Amino acid sequence: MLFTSRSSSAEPTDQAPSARKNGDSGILPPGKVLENLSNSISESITQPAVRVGKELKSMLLDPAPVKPVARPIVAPSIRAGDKPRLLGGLTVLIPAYNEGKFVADTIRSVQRQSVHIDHVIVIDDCSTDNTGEIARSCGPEIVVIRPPKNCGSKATALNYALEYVSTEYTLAIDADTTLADDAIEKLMPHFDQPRTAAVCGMVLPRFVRTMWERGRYIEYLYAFLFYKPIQDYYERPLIASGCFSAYRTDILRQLGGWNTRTVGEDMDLTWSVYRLGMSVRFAPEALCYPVEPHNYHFMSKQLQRWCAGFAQCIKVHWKDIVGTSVLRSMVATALWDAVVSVFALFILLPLLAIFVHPAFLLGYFLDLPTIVVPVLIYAAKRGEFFKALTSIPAFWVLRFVNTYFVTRAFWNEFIGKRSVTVFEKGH
Amino acid sequence: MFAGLPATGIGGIFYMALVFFMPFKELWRAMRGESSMERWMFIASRWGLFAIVIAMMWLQAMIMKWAIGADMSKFMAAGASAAAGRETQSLAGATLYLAVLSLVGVMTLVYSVRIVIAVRRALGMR
Repeated sequence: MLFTSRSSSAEPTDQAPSARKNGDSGILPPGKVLENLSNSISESITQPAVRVGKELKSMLLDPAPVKPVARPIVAPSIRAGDKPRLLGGLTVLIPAYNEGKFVADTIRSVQRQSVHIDHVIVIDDCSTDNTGEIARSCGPEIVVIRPPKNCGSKATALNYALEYVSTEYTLAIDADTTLADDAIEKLMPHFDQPRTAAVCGMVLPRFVRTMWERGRYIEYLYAFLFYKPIQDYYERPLIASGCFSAYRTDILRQLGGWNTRTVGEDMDLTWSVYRLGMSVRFAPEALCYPVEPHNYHFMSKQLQRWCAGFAQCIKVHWKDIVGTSVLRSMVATALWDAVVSVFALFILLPLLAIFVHPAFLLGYFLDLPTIVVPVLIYAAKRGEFFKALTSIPAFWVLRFVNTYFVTRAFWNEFIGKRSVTVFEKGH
Repeated sequence: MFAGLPATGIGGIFYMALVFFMPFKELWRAMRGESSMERWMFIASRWGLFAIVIAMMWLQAMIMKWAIGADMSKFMAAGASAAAGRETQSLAGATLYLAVLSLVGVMTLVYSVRIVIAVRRALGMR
């Protein structure tokens, strides 16, 4: 039983130290806590941050297991009515770089959650827009931290904030991702098994307007509702999506946080969890809605990073993958398909169509039923049948683009030795 | 497949195999008292879904065969059209055969590498 009602549970143990001094029970009303802490919050957050940054650097360079160095964050908890509480507590981390347009929606979706969230930390990664101000304006319980300089990647920004986490669970969401109101309530019960180290949610694009968003919409419906439940049955989701996943904080720390050696930090972390002998679960009923690339420019950046991340993770983890049941076969078949598809789509089928018979062009639609049938069934269940039906052609376009980028990524990573190291956002 | 990767290919066949083996795994779990009706329902839904997918693929193959046959018949004699139909059939068979063969090959390679790594680790080699 992970949830308990507020009335029956103990009060939070992670209250600010200064708040404890001011009351007999150590617990103050939120307003009073805020009053007492209004000056100390910025100091407590900003000052250690510089020091932590250095520690973090050495931590990431050191491959040895890292000793947990949790420091309680100095912020009052979100208190909202009789929301159920998570035993052990939950901290939400929101890394943000120039997300002024979306970060408020993200924070509000966290505030609307049907369960109690102990802490919300926004990592304003030296944004040049007003991300930090907007985040602060969302409420006094939102802690905004700003590293001394731009972290350069989501992984580093998350690691920077991990130092402040004092709860048993840590949830990371992207700053452009909103959550369904019951997303966390649906996500957290999947930690019922002690060996579950991470749980990821279901992802659907927030906007489905342009061709690229439509293609991604079909891709997500297919990947998250067709393949991922099968992966979950065998307790081997290929990836706990970085845009919405929760972790046991002690396991995160044991792994050294989110690793920066690859640009696919979420896949890297997922496979590292498997290396520990722990499992990852998928909660299809826990919904999140990220903003997906709306044009080719941003889609290409995102695909370049994703595909390079996949290739880099294979390079880093291949020996461990081979020793991990089911995952080894999933990765091997994905790798094979990724490599062969370029040959089939760009060379074999056009040549056959030109030199043998034009009907070979139908080969492009050979697996149409395997994609269309599940997608339309799931879309119909969600009342989005026509949206899905009209989006299917966009998926075929995206597929060609995917093929190009995955081929380029594997060429660059394994043959060309031009590894992607720059973390570029998808919008 | 996950978002960002292009094809279903042998991955699709592999996942089909995973679904096929689900009841056997669940039986094993049931014997250990770890099964539940919910899990069996999930397996049934996956089997149902794959049954629909296979039925639709069969239908698609029939349509393609008819389309190619009809198209060829415009240009060829009736006998040649029938031959084209057989070609289509054998082509579909060959594609499936090739895909399954690829899957077996990939699995063999993966398990061979696994054995090599296990042996090297046992011998204290990197």
